[in-house]
Amino acid sequence: MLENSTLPVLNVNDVRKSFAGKPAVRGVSFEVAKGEIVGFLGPNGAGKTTTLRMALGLIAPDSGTVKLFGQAPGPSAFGRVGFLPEERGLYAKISARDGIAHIACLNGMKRKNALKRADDMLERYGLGDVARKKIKTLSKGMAQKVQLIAAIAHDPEFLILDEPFSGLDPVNQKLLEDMVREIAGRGRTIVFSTHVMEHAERLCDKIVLLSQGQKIFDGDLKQALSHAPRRLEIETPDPKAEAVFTPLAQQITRNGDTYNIVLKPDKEARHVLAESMKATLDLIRFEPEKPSLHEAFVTLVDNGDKP
Amino acid sequence: MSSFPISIRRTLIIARRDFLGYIKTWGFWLTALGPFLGIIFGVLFPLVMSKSEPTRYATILDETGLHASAIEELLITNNTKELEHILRSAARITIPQKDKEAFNKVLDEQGVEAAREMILKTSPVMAKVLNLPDTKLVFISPPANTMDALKPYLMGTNTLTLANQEQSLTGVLHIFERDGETKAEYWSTATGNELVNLADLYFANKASENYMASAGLSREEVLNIRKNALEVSTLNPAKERDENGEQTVTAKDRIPYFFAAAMAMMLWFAVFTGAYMLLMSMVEEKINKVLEMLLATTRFSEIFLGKLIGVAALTLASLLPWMILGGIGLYGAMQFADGAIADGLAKAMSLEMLIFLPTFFILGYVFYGSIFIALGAIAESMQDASTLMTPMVLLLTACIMVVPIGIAYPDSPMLTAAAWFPFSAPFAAVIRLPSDPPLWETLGSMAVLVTSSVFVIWGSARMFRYGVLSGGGMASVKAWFSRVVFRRKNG
Repeated sequence: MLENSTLPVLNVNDVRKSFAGKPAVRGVSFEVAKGEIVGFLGPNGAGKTTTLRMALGLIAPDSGTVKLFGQAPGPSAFGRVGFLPEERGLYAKISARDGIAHIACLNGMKRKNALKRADDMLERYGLGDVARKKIKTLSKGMAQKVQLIAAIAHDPEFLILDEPFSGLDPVNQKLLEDMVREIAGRGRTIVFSTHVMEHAERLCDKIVLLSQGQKIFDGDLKQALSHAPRRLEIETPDPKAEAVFTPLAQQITRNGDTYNIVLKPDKEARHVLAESMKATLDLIRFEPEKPSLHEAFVTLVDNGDKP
Repeated sequence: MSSFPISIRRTLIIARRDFLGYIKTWGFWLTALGPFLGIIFGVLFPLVMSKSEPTRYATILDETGLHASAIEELLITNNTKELEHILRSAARITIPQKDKEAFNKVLDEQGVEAAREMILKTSPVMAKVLNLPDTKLVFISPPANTMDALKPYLMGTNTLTLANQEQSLTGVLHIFERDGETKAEYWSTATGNELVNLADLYFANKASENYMASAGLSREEVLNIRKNALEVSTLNPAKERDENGEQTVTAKDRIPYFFAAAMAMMLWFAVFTGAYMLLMSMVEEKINKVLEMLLATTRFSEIFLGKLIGVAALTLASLLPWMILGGIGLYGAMQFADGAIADGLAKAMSLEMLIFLPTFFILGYVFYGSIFIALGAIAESMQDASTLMTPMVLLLTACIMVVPIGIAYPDSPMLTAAAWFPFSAPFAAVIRLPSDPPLWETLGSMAVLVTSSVFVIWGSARMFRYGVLSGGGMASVKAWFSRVVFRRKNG
């Protein structure tokens, strides 16, 4: 079957899912285009894992539709998708290379090739020494890397990683970020869920924010950051300063000659600078703060904002 | 998404993993080699020990002069009786039915050597191994005339040259009169009590002989009379008359029932070990959190079938030693036994048995295997698995009770009912086969099993999805039924 290259890799349309009458996902819709890295963000219990399971066809939505490579998720996508579930695990009593090769075989590789690929990837990611060790003897970080290798060994077109950074130390988190960048660099599509915004800020082209089973944002990083409050730190001994800043600020905190200002949503740093110049304030320091995704997320959740 | 279409390749990869995962464990090899270990430690090891045991020399210091030779004779008589018993047992399977009476007469009147000659004619190989037990107790004349003088021989201070070797005495049976009563004491530094048992038997026989003699009776005559007691023949009016026009029940008639019982037991064993492995395999994958990853690459039906195939192969591998031993047993029966055994075995392997035995094997395994996979899917830990398995083990144990009923009363209504109950149907239907039940009843049992298996697989699939992906566990069976079975959408 010919596939339209402009088709989204994943299309989730108004899916809903309840467990024991309790809604877990409430009308979530989003798309993932080919080659994108999408961060699937939200606090614990936001419905990220349930949505990703529905995207893979592991559980059926109560209503709504999911299209994976233009079709209902299922066997037609086997081998084209790599999946790292939130709950980590591989066969504990077999070697790392056998565990990776087993999953790669299920994804369509021949056993001989799968074993060779497992050896190569373990070597590349610094686990060559433990290739023949039983998985139960590996450290948590090593086992997690082995599982990630198992998910990508068959070189899938689309990679879904559910909370890939959880439980990893900073060194391994950095290593995993590099792995994700390297896979994305080969034109692969990646969706990963996380509740740690910094990873998404560093890696993602696009962000989908979920809260209490609902999507509260879907767009690129710049758009997401635009929802974060603008902050400024200004140092001036001028007594007129507070009067100049107040019309532009949502909140002002003063500490001596230093003013910490949260701007109103429609104002920007250049407006404050213009007004300060007009009032001939004696500015010692004028420092706009970089908006964070974390603050954007908090704002979006607080406002119940919908795109 | 349909659960039924499957990829054979992925199914076999799952099967291979389960097979290899278990075949490398110690537990598997202990189970598989169990029969051989049993033979080595239960039969061969004691046999070698007994063969390598040194000859023990004992003496009887009989101050009364009345008992020593009689006790020595009793040892020979006992050994001869033991050989007689072995010969009679061997005759049951080697001597044709029509010659059995003549064999008993030869054994009673002409002794063990003549009886062995008779067996030699029908089964030369078996006759070669039928010898007098190799006694390790040898009586010698007392090397001294008093107990005090004999004690150094027991302690090893004094030795005797016997069979060209320096030997010490193992024991001395001292029989003497004191205060008008006969006394017997056994002196020895060893703990073995073979001579004590022999002496006890002798004095017990002597006491009963004396008692009978006081009433004018002879113990020997009583024993002879018992030998000539009437033997009850078993006949079956439903049996076709043999060449002599008789309907006597022979080994040929009984063997099919024992064969069916053995097959039912083997099926039970296969179900028990296989189902246990399936449950443990599923629980292990749940605990290892590997199932979700598998489900992203493999259909549930492929995992389900792969596990059934993998564990079936494993169960067959663990049964292989039993099959080899069974094959050796069959070969032995053909070699050593008379035609009746071979005929009986041929009758046991009837066309019905050859068709329905594998069918019930597969159906029984699939039925129980599906249940255990489902139980494994909802178990959250090994403790959960044990709890869930207990009622199934009790049920399986209750179901195997059909085997003795099937041997004793193959037409029992309870057995017929058991053949219609899915949990006992695989065993009951197999054990009923030799009694030629109506074909529709056997097909009915199959239909019950097929229907139940389909239902169980459907239920297992639901439980599997619920247990694996919803993290439902077995917190509430009632909740599970209401959510998953009856209100599927909310599950």
